[in-house]
Amino acid sequence: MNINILSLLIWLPIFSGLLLLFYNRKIKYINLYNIFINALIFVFSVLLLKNFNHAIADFQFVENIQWIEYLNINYYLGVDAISILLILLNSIIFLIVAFYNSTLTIKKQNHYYASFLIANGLTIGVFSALDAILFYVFFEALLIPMFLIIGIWGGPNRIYAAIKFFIYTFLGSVLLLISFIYINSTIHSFNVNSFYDAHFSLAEQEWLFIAMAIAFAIKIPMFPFHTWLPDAHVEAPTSGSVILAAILLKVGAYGFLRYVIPVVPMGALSLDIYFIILSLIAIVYVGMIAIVQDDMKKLIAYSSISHMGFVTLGFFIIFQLFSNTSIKEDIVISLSGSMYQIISHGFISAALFICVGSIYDRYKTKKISEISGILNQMPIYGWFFVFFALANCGMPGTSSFVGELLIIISSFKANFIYSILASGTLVISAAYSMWLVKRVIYGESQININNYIDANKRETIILFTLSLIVLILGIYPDYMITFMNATLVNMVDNIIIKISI
Amino acid sequence: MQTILFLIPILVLASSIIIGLSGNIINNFYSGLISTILVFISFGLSLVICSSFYFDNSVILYEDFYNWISIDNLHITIGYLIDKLSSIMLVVVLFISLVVHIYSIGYMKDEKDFKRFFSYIALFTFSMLLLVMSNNLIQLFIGWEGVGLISYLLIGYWHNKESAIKANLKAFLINRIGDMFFILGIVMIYSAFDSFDFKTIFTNIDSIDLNNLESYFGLNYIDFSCLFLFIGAMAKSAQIPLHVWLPDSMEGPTPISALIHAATMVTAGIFMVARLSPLYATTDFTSDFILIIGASTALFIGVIAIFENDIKKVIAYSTISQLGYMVAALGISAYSVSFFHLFTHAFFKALLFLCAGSIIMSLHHNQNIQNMGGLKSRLPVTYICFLIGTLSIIGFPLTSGFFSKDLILEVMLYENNTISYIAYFMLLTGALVTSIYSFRLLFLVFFGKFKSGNIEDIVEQSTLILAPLIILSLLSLSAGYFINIFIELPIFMYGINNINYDGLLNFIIHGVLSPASVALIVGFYFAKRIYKDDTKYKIFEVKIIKIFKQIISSKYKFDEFFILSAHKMVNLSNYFSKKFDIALIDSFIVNGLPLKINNFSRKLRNSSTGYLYHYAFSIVFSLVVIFGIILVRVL
Repeated sequence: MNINILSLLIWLPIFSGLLLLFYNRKIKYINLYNIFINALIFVFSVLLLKNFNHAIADFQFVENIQWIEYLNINYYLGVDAISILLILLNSIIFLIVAFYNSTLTIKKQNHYYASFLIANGLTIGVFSALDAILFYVFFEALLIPMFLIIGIWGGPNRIYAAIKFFIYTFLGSVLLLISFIYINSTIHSFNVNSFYDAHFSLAEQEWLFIAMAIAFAIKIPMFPFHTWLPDAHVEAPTSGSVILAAILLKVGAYGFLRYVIPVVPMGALSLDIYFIILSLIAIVYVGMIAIVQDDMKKLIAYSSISHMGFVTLGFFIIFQLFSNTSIKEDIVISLSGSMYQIISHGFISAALFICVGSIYDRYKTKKISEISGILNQMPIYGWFFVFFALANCGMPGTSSFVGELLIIISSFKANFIYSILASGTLVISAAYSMWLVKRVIYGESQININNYIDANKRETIILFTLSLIVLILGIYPDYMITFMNATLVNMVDNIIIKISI
Repeated sequence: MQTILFLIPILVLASSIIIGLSGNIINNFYSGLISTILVFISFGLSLVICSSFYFDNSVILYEDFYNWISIDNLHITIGYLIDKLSSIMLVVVLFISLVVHIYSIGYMKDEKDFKRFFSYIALFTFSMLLLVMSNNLIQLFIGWEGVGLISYLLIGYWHNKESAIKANLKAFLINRIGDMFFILGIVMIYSAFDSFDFKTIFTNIDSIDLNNLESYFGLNYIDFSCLFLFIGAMAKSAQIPLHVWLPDSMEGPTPISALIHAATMVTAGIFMVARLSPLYATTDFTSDFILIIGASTALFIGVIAIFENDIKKVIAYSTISQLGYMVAALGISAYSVSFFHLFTHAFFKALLFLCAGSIIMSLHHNQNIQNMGGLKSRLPVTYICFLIGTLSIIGFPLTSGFFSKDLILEVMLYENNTISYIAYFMLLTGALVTSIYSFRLLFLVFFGKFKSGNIEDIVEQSTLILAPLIILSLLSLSAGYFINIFIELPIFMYGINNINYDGLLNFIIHGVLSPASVALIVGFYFAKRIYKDDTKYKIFEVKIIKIFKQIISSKYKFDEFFILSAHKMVNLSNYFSKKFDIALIDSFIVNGLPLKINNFSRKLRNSSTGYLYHYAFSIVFSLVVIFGIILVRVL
């Protein structure tokens, strides 16, 4: 096996993306090239998965080269089960986006594809970097292609949305950088492993926790840092929205799991209640806001925030579980639930945005009040939409149920009230998803023109694949749960040791 | 055995997938035929399973198919637990499903989406089997949600009809409210027993120390979790106040009303409580709660049926009322009796619905019973079947309903406390009400004069539709004679198991002489006088009776309450969205801060005017201030 497979996964799409900037003649070749590279990345990440030994909790496929010597910064890559799953999600979503894009015709197509290719590589970089500064570089660089995708190919209000998105997330990143530098000033290393071994006083931990948590909370986004997301989604082109929801939000969640919770657990332990409250607000309050949106994309954006609330809830109740029962197993269940929710939401939100985007392409509107009766005109899209809306509200048999179930189980052990509020999502998510379906998909068609084309073969394949993934993850979740078990157990062990000292 | 138990659900699932994805490869009739055959095989296999339990009560088939999730000690599996209870339920579900399959080939033949319909009902049957066979709470919940989902899809089967898509959204949301409590109940049970598995839960039930568990609102832990689980059952089995979705669900095709909204899915709640009877048998408060809910549903919702004019809705209200009987029996811990009523009810209620479907088809989708009448001569087969269904539901001696309903009324008197006496009288009045609305329906539809158009145009439906009616009629007449199986049904040996039963003959004599028979006769008399002979009673002109009638016709305003709550919720969300999310967070803070910085910088910029005297002035001014400060300090 090639030892440098991670570098390959990162730099292959980035360089091929850069290369694509200079070729703008035959659309057909551009499409083929784009799909080919993305497919290659997908194949490599599957190989990565296959060669990964999930019984071992340590980082694997490690590459460690000195980068900037006098600052102790290394080009240090490696993956554990969490990052592998996210890399796989990433490469599947990018491949799907490449497929989906090939049905479009837009201005500067090669630049558009190049942005996605570069974003693909950078995200893999984020998920595999084990050096804080390297992570930070990828994390920040990822903003550039996303900024361009929204700012150039977005809707009418794209400049506002792009700048808001950029400045808002950048603001958080500054806090992150400061925290990294502070940690480095005491332990003289940016290596993640030494981050885990580092010991700070409680006050230090609290400050570090606040700074880093805000950075990632903006990215996820958590209430009240969430208002950039609906704007960005509404203005972003369809594939931009897909990436934003399926991948970019997960970067924030990954950050919590990699750089916050295991590094400053004491800080998290003493401030967890605030973050639990914010997560519950996200689940209930943001879910309620989603009900009344009139823009389909906004509705799904708010529902994303609500679902990510589940993820962060799963992250932070572990500290309450620790103080209540300190049974390791409960903590692992909670984190497994969060991870499952992350992956599941990636696929479901991607599919929903593709459905909405395709409806927008045909009707030229995203307003719920202006569309109805899609089933009469586009039955294939309509039924897929119904399926993914059901998946979005946590129907058993689909992937989202697994994560929600695990988190509700562990939130009950943390506190009865949490579980009541968290399970409120069963009603709230059903209300926004199915009311949307009722208004948009069912009913008599409002605009009656015969030339609405239903999903073509390629789009059908895309949606079918996504629904298959969602179903498989829902029917047989044990594979993924077992896959990440060793890593999570190890992480929990470290956290417990760190807290106990 | 394991292969057979694996095949039963898989065949049905295969039927759903094959029909659902076949596209244009198979034509409508054949796809109906294929799925009927597959369900028939499943039904045959379930009979094999069930027959092995006939003589032996103690056998329990228990196995896992696969691990759904396992994290350390958390094991959630997909498997089966087959005992007498679930084996009988399997047979009932598959039998009704089979009958409805046959019926639907005839009933739905002109539908464009014929295959979608068949795919749905097969998937429904699969989910129901998953629920019935489950050996743990999570699988039960998966099946539970699955049947709810298919119910949702089938209520909205005609998705262009505004009333249908309103009804299915309503059904989905109300069921979701129940499910929210249901999942909380499941999680609570898990926390106490550290397992979702029925076997583990039931074997540990005695060893668990209730004092170690928290109590909520004065209720002990198990009571509370059982209450939550029961709230889930209230939504699914349409008990007050979560019953509002069931009458509206009649927007779906009629075979569905028979299969899902009468015979099988709505009884899932009853089945769940019976399955968890070892838990429920230990509860005090929750059992009383169940009893009260069941008895009031049986009476108060039954009364609504007297004033309803839509033929399907009358039967729907009667379904809710009959479910109330079952729930009441659960409340008194007579789980097997409740299950017996579930069993007989499945046949006669499916029969009534399918008869209604036949009538509706013959009348070209006219459902208002005020426009019917005199159909006896035109639809003789349907009439006889409907008569049998009616006799069964009112509990006419020797029909199936007689046995089960009498048994329920009888067990009410076993416990000598006030609540159960009250419940007994409510149920007895309910029997009177049942008799009134059932005969009213019969008289208005089949007797008197036809009120809309030419009666000669009405013809009996094809054999494909009539055959299921006849089969179900036979079963409605005979299902009650299985009483001895249910008397000794071991639902994990809990609850009342010393039911007074000394032979069929004695039971019948006892039943005929019971007050229920009086209620039946009185009900028949009034229904005949009022709806057949058109007698005008003076008493209906009394004001207080009119007010009562008004209250009942308004269906106690439950619908309005839910609509109002939904509106309030939307308004609140709107308020949150506009005032809080957009105005406060986004405009004031997120966009407001940069704006303020911007304004401040603009002001700062204005001070840089470029005029020399401005600068000279500010220099001098600053110097004065600085020296002033220094001077003050020095002094």
